[in-house]
Amino acid sequence: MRALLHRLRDLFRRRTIACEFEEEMAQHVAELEARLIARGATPAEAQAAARREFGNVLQVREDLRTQAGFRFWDELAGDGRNAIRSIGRRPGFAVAIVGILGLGLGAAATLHGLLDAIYLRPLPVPRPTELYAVVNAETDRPSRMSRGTVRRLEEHLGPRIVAAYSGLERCTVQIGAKTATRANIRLVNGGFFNALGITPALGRGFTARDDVAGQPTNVVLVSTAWATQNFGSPASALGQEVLVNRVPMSVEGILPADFRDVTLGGSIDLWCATAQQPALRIFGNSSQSEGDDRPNDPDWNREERISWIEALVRIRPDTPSARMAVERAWTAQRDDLILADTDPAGRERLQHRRWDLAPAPGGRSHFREGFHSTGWLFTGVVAVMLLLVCMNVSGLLLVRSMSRHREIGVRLALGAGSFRVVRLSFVETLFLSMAGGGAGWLLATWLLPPTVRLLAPGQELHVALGEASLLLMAGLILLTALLSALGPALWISRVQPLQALSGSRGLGQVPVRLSRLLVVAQFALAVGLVAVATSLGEEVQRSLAADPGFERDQVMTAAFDPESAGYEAKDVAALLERLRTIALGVPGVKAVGFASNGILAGSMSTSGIHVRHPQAVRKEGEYQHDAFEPGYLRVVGMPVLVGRDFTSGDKAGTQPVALVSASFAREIFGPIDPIGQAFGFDVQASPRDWTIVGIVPDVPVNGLRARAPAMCYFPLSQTGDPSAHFMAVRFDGSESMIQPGLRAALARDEPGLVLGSWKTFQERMTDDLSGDLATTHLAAVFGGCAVLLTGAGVAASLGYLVVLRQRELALRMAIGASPSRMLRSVLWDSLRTSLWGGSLGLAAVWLVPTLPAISTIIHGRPGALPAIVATVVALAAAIVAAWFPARRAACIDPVQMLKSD
Amino acid sequence: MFVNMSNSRSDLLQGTLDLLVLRTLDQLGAQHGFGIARRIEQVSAHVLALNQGTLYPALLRLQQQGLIDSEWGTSENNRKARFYSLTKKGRTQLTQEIAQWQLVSGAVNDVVGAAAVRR
Repeated sequence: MRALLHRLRDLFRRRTIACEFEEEMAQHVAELEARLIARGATPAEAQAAARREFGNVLQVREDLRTQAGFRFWDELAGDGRNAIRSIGRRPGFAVAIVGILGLGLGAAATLHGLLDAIYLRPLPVPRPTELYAVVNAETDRPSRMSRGTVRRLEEHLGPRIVAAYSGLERCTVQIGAKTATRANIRLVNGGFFNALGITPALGRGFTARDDVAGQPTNVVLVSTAWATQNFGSPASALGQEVLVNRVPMSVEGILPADFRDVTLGGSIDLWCATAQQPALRIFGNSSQSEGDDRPNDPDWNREERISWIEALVRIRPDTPSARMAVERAWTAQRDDLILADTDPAGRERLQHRRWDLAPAPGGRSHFREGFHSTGWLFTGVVAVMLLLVCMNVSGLLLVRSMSRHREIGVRLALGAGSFRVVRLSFVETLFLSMAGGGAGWLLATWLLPPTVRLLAPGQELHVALGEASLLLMAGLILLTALLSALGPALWISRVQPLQALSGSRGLGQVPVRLSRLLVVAQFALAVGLVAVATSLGEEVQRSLAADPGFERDQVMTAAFDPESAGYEAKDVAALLERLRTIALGVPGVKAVGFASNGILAGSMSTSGIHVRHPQAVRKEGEYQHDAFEPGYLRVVGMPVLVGRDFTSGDKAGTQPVALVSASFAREIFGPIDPIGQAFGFDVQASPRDWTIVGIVPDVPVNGLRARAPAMCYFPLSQTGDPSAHFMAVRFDGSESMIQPGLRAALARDEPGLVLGSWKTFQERMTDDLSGDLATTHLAAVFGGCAVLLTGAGVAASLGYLVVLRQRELALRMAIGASPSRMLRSVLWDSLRTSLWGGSLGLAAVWLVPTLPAISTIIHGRPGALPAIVATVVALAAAIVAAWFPARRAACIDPVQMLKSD
Repeated sequence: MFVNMSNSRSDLLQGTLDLLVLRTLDQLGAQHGFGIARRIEQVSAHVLALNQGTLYPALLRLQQQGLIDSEWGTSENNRKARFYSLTKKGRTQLTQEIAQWQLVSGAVNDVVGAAAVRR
């Protein structure tokens, strides 16, 4: 090791060492001379003899350089200088290569920045690797638990260990006399910030005293961004009183600016203690199980049968066995849930449910799981792009190397050796790659924010290119340089100096074939990319164009939350009537309807149902449901296929009725007529069972890309919870004319209620597909780049072939071939190569999606049309690219050319 | 007239130069390159032919290995010279190399001696 360090040190003392030894050797020779003169030799004889005795000074110098590691570095430095000179001689060529490499490397750095922000970036808390999420052992997804389970977990594991939090909720905030606004809120346990190790930037955090069930303190912590937005500065917000869901709360702490949420991509404005849940009337994001033995407690902090909290656990070396503690904490909740469940199968499932801990340094996020396929697709596209770039650059460099055959011949003839010449070529490629890396870095810096907005809409991600990206870029630069230098290296290693000096480029058809092979491969990849992009686009268009089962243009919708706006359950019916009256008073509004969850509103309810018919295909299952008032179906334009719609007679106290979707009817009843059949939430038949009165079409309520779920619908007034969260307004005329009036009327007459953005169903559909649209756009951009790159590859390859065939073309023209014939000949050459590439690309497009790994990313094989369109587009690009070399071939002067030979 | 006396000299065995340099420094203490070369020739009674220039790459190598150290000073002829001295590590290395050399040269002597006796 010490010897290595000495050698490394000497590398930086090259000049000093050389000078010192030079001086030392001069002294040595002088001593020798002096001794010989003393023995009687003449100065001339002494000088000659001393030199003889000392040996070959040049050899000694060379040995010294080798010993100090000089030779390698000197040669490398020489190669570097040569490379820079060579690049400088062809600036246009260099710019083209740097641009192509920049494109590929920029795409790779952008991808890394995006994946880093989504998958790798830890939470901004101390020692994030100590954080583990409590997950369902079977699904590896975060487990929701009751507040009681969290309490037991805290008892087993001790303080500052458990960070428990509710789902992301929306609340209504009123500051003084200002108009109420909506804000994101999370309820957390008293030890939440302590467990995460977060100290508020101002004020205080929560303590156990703030989170006592039934006696919560009215304390709210707020984010720096929210405080600044609403009070001008964080300091001004401290100590202020605000109304959160009409509950007066005091702002006691401001969280650090870099802490936005405990999961990825969210941005929480307000943080309250879980004990505030009943006061704040937060009733969303939960799994509930209600037994016949007792009703559930409306204070979720006291109810084991409501799971609404997720938890992160900080595991330090001294933490007691956390897995065991999690199991023990869950046991009490599980026993209570089993007591409530009358279904033996359900009890069995609960009995076998296990919890586990999974590393969660970046928190847990549903978005991450949803992003997998987009992430893989993007990664695949970027990998193909990089490969394409390498092939393209390799082809261009091969052409360039061949055009320098004489120079290479001279170097080889002077004894440089193939390795040295290959190294020179590699150094040149490395320099170009480094410049390409720089260009790519700039491109990625510019591309990253819009890419994140495009691919992760609505997610507030911290994106930046950091040290890891830099390291990746360095690796990719080296890799692309190596891959790109392969083709030229292969050619150089087989060049014969004499052949090269005599003007022959050598190797017969080998380089030509290699060059064509690269073009064919590029062509195939470009066709594949364009086909995938076109196919994705077609898929999105199909989803948008398909009949969704509801009216998409003349219905405006908005989500709202009466509970968070402070309305009691008993007042909701009156509120809905007021809203209807207000809306109908707006010119152009024809009808108004309300639903519990609505369509494409991001809200859903599911329950286990039991079917009473003994011959039913399925006797039970977990199904999604919604509730709406009579007339809602007409407002949203959903027809009743069979049977009848709800009527005003279907109200509380009358026979409960239900509508079911076509797939629900098919799945549950098969050939049996579902009208008049009954099902219920209880295992045994009961008077609360629902009787099916009609069938409605399948509607993609959760998203256009997901299969429309099998659903059942109930009258809002018969569900026991008349609260609606979705308002649909049917109108005549233009949306832009109606919306401002509607918005103003509602804000004026119902100022405490905050309605979300008004959107037509068409807008909701487009929003729902925004991720897919973004992926399609990106794939299209990459496909376009691929076609451009392929065009450049074709042009370079043909350009070289024209140079190679100059004599042959001149000869043919001399014996009568016309310039137009030459033009056609070269164009045909391009077309033939491109057709090979196109065929290969088509085969790949046809075969690759059948691979299991790919089929999860690309839903279905691209149709024949996109693949053919891709081939035609790429062929057109190839012909355009081939035009310039073809023109050059047609312009050859045979007399001039043959004379020069 | 000056006469070259080196006709009967033998080429240095491959790999022995480092050993000779270390041994010389061990015996003489700090010494400059010329002194080391002269000492080797003197001790070997001008039998070992040393291209004196080859000494310098060897000195650099030994320095890089940490076996010797160097310091600029003034020679006995009042010339500026670099003096090399053995380090502790060099001394240990020398002991090992001498043992190794004796083992090898003894074995070679045995083989050569036996062959001479048979003849």
